[in-house]
Amino acid sequence: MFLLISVLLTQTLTSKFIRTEREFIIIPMKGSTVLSENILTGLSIVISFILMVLVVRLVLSQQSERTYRNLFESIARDIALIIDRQASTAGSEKTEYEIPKGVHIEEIRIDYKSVFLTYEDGTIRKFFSGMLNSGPYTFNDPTVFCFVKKEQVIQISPIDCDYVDMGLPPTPPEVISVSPNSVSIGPGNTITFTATYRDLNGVNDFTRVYFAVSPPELSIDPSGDKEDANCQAFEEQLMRYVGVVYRQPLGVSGEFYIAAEKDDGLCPWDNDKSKGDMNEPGTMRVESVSHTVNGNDLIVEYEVTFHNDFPVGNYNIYMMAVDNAGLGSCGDGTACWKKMGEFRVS
Amino acid sequence: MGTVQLVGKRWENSGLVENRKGCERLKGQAGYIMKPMMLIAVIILLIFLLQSLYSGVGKERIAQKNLDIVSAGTNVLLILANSEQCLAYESPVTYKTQGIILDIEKLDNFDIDSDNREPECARNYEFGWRVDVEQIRRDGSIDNSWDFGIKEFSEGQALNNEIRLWIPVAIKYPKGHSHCPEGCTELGKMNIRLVNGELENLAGFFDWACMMGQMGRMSTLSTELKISQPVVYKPNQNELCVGNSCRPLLCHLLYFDEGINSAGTYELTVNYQAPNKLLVGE
Repeated sequence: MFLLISVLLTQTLTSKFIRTEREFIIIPMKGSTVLSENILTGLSIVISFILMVLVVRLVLSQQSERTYRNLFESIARDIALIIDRQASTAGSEKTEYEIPKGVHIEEIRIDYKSVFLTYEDGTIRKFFSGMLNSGPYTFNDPTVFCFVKKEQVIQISPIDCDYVDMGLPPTPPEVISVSPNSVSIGPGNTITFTATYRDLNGVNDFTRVYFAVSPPELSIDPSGDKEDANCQAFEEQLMRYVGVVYRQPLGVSGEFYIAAEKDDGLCPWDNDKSKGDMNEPGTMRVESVSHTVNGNDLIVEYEVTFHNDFPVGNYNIYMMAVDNAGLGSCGDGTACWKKMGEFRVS
Repeated sequence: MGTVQLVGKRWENSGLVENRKGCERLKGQAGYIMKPMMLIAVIILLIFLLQSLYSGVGKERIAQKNLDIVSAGTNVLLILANSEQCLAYESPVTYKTQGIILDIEKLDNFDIDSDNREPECARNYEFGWRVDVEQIRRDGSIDNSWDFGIKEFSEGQALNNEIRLWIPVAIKYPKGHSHCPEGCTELGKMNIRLVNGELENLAGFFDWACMMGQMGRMSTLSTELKISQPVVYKPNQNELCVGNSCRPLLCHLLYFDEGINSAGTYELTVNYQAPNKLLVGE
């Protein structure tokens, strides 16, 4: 309306001015006065045109914003509808839903009778009627969902339904890589390790991911490529080197535990001292732990400072992960530490 | 200057000057009329354009609301009839849920326990609903009936939209039941009245926030709601009323004794306090 009023005012003012000029020009300077009238008329047309363009643009931008929001609302509605349809099915069912290509959703949280969809301009909430009997679920930047209903429970995974077998147990997590995987540093330096873990059932399926820098303990594997988990000798020795566990909820970034103390019956991660950031002798400090998600990959950055008194020598870099079903990353579903690289403090 | 006078003389002499002046005057007068006319035409065109665009948006919103209420109504009926957690009958032999066959025992329990609230297994926190199930004889007359769900709904300005739907169902009586000692399956009809209005939205938000708090999922939640009738909270009955319609709440509300007195759009934030209290802030 403001722009419409502006158009009106401009038109009125310019036409008055033209009238004045016309009354004034009758006597002298015929050529120049005709030119000035034309300029003013042209100017009024240009201004009107610009203002009309602005009005149309404003309307169209409002429309496109609304259309954009509608797109996300329809995605949230689709998800709610799928959950309700599954809840209203008497038997078991598997449904795949793919987010339209090119649509970027920052986060989808599926909680008790509600779907929260967060995109760059806001959050949309939709309610559904059925019971999930599982969750809550949080998915960052999802592309596809598989909804599986079995025995009154609806499970949601951010993967193709081809990977979800309703009769088989969940897929074990994997440890993929660490960067750098071969490095030498001097004491007193800080280094950031980027470790990648994968779970085909989605990153929310991880319960704990582990990272260690240690000499081999050689208890279960003479080559030192695998080490024993479950609070055994290897994990006990990590108290003197580097041992970090990063636990769910992964949304609470920076909440990590250090192998720092061993009490009877407890793992070295489970004591009061583990909530700090130093190992037992205080020769290493974990500055920060943070994560990002890429599809089914959980990428965790460990920023570690090796103090001057950290023992000089050759070490291995180890990783491990455990999922919600209790499956470990050893390859056969058990939990063990896998050697992923080498490290030297010189 | 000389040129002007000369030209002026030639026109005067040719006798065309008066005609020329008359034409110019007419043209000028037409210009005076044409410009405002053009302006009005452009404004009308713009208003028409805007009106057609915004009416399209309004129609789209209504279509979305209709779609939402129809799908919610259908889903609630199907969940009630097919979910073992609601009314669906489970075979004691195969242990499989049998869709659209209602268990008479569950139906009796719903009739007693959910007299003025929606059973949690099919509740939607955006809508309010009441269901009645009728058992029909072969001649079409009603043999028996049960009803459950909320009793009062938004009315007048506070009512956004409502829908009534029904589906055919079967009602399973086990052996030994007084109605049918040898066990039988009877024909039935399940009707729903589903309503979306300010009372359902507001009470739904409070109840949902209460459930989320009790499950330890979220302790603080916010929403934006349009209110067109006074909202009153009755702490003794733990009821929320919009206009003349009231419905019970799951949690007790603190700092909401004055309710909402004037129409408008409000942003409400609630904070859960265990075991069953919600602190309400505007």
